[in-house]
Amino acid sequence: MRQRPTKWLMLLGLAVVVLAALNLGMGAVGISPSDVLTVLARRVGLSVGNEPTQGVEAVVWTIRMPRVLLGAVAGAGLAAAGTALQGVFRNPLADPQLLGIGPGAGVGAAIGAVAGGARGAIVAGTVAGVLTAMLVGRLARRTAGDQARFILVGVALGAALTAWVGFIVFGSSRSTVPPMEFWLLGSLTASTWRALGLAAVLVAAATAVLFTLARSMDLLALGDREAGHLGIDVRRTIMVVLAAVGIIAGATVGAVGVVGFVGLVVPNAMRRLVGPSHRVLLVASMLGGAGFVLAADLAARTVMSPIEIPVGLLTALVGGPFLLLLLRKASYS
Amino acid sequence: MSVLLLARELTYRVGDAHLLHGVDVSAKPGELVAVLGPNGAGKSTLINLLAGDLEPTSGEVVLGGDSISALDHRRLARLRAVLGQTRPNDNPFTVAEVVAMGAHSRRGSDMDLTLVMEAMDVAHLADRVVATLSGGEQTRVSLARVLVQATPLVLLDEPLAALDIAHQERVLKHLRVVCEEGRTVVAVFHDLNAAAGHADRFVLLSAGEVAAEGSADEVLDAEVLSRVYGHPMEAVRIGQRLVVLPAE
Repeated sequence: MRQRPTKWLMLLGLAVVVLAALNLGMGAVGISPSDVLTVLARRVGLSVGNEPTQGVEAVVWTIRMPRVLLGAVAGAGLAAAGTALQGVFRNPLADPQLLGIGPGAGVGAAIGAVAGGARGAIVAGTVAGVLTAMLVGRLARRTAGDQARFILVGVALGAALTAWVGFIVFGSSRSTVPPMEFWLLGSLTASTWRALGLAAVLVAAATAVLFTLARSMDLLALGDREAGHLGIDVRRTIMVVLAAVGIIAGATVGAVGVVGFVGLVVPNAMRRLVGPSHRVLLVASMLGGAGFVLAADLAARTVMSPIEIPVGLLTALVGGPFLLLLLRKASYS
Repeated sequence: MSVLLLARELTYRVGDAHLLHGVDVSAKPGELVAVLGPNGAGKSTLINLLAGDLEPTSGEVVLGGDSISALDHRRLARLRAVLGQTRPNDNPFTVAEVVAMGAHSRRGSDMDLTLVMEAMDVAHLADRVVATLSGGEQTRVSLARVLVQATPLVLLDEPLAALDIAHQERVLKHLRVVCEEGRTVVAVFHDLNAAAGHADRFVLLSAGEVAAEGSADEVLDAEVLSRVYGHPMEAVRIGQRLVVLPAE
């Protein structure tokens, strides 16, 4: 018997708010909760407390707030993408980064960064993400039924595409393209309001599409043919899901680099908490993904402070052992 | 409508192999049609063609007056439900959730899911995750889901596989109830006696062709069966029931 999901959704929502607040206050410069609240309140037009110093205002609103929101958007998007991939392929190991969609988006994003800076990276990353996702769809048909082979094909694709990212990075000026560690482990350091706006719109649009297909994803648990017998256009559903996943992977990779394991760890953990129904699971995964990335980023900024480590190191620290656990019991149920 | 399902001259070829050749099948509303035949006779291929899962090399399947090749996924889902042979066993949903999925394509029907679950003897498993059930239980859940789809035509490929004898009888009796509602069931059976006791009409396939078609007396004939199965068979009556046995 499963627990009622509402309780978990509320707890997850609360965790995201708490983690966001901690991220705003903690770091190389410690800011008290009252100062954080004062800055936020004044930004929405409420004149409370003493006027914060310019330094505090800049740290909270210009540096940390876009970083927190971008981390939440990326985490929520990647977890929703992983949920959808696992749903349509009935494969608990399916994840946008593991299947090579993230690295594919990275190739486009690196080229986009050379041509058009941070926003160019997001736009080109999105295009490349969708194209790579379509390629993954073709590979999925060829490896039909062999789940492990499908994932390995994705890993091989990702390795080759990451190599191409490397060629672009090392062949370009350091000032135009983020360093290689950004494309391997991700980073929220350079988060800006401009990048956040574009990435958030793309991720929101793509996740909205995923929500419209939630029931179809449920029916696909019966099998492709069985879902087809119930009136689902299976091929179209998979292609639309892949396109949405490509957009999410592209927008997030363009904005924060390749942050691994979010789309793998979070949906599997959430399925245990709230069950497999995708309407609820997508919400839980988005909250869980946002919380996971915010927690990882908080740790990235504080465990070796003042040195900041890449956020992907922390997600991999949790994700690697989690993958080993999943491989021991690789079942969608 | 006198005929719900009409398959004309169905041929299905893979390379040089004729899996089905010139097969005609029809079914009226309220009929239970049993498709019989030895392994490799083309029974599952026929079901797949009737379901629209395979496209015939030649010939046509007409369902409710329309060629199924002209019907889209949704329309087909309102006309026919299908129980295939292969079913994934790692379904993470509960029995009640899976049975409710059968109603996905339905419009405005108020069929009571619990009644169907009780008929298939899975109501007591309602909150169990399907992946944790035995093969026979999973088959009964799939049957309940297919019947909940409430379509005029129900296609079943080996619905009795993995079921114990009591559940076989229970399912067969319920299929009769389904037919009494005016729905048509076309089902593949390996157990000739189970089919003999409940079906209205029999289609016996052999090497991709119809070897015999008609009533129990016409098809479940010792000579016909012996020829098709390549083994001497006997057909005897026990009370009202025709029973087929392998001869010594």
